Amino acid sequence: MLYQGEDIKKLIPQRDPIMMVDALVSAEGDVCKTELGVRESNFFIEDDQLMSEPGLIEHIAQSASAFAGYRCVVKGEPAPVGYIGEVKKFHCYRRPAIGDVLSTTITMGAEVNGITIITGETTVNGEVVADTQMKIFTADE
Amino acid sequence: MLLKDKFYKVQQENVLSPLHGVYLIALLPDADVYRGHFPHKAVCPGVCNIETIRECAEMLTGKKLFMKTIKQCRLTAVATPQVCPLLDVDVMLTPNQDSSAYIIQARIADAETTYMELKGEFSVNN
Repeated sequence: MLYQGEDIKKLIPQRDPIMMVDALVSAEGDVCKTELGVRESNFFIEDDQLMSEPGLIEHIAQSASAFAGYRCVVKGEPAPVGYIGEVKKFHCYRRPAIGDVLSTTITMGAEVNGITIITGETTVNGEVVADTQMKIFTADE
Repeated sequence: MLLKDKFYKVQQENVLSPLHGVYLIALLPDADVYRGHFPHKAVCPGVCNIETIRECAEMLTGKKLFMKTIKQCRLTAVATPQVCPLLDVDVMLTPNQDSSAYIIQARIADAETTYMELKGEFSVNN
């Protein structure tokens, strides 16, 4: 684990009730891995006790944000604020349940004019539950 | 529903056809989500606007819908309850061959600005 618990707040600007990353597990080159435990109190848990699909999108976006934040923090720079610019080819194969641990792999492309294209894949116990591409804008505030 | 009456309130429902509706919504500036997005500046999470589109599609069809695929969703402007307190959510659905899913085209906009455009497939079955 590179960052977890309170320390994850050094990497992402989101706070309770919409913090959707528990840990940055690893980061090497253009690839990072993150985790999120799905708790009953999660903002995206619906009446049927499963997570709504936008929760998966937010988790993937914040995973990318944590990766970008980590890259800045190791260079001694402040973590950037990222906004989702586009979601493309998102698939949800299964909505996560309370108690599931989401394991997500982010692959980050090159940044061009403040826009970074990332791909994300989320698994639970090795089963792919969602994947997507995303464009992330970074702002300096 | 996750966000209806918590993140937004429907002010007006214009059902143009059984598969095309325009929902005028008011964003609720005191919504809980803004405590965390972000602590110093309230910005609508893009994913909440995606969820709002789904909920409007559910109101239109009267069915629970699952977001199997988002082909493309463009977030073309930053929405906040201050910048755009009132928004039109335009939802257009086309059933697939066996009616197990709808192709959806949706747009969130006000008179001046488009904030989101979404194309995808929402399934009737989980």
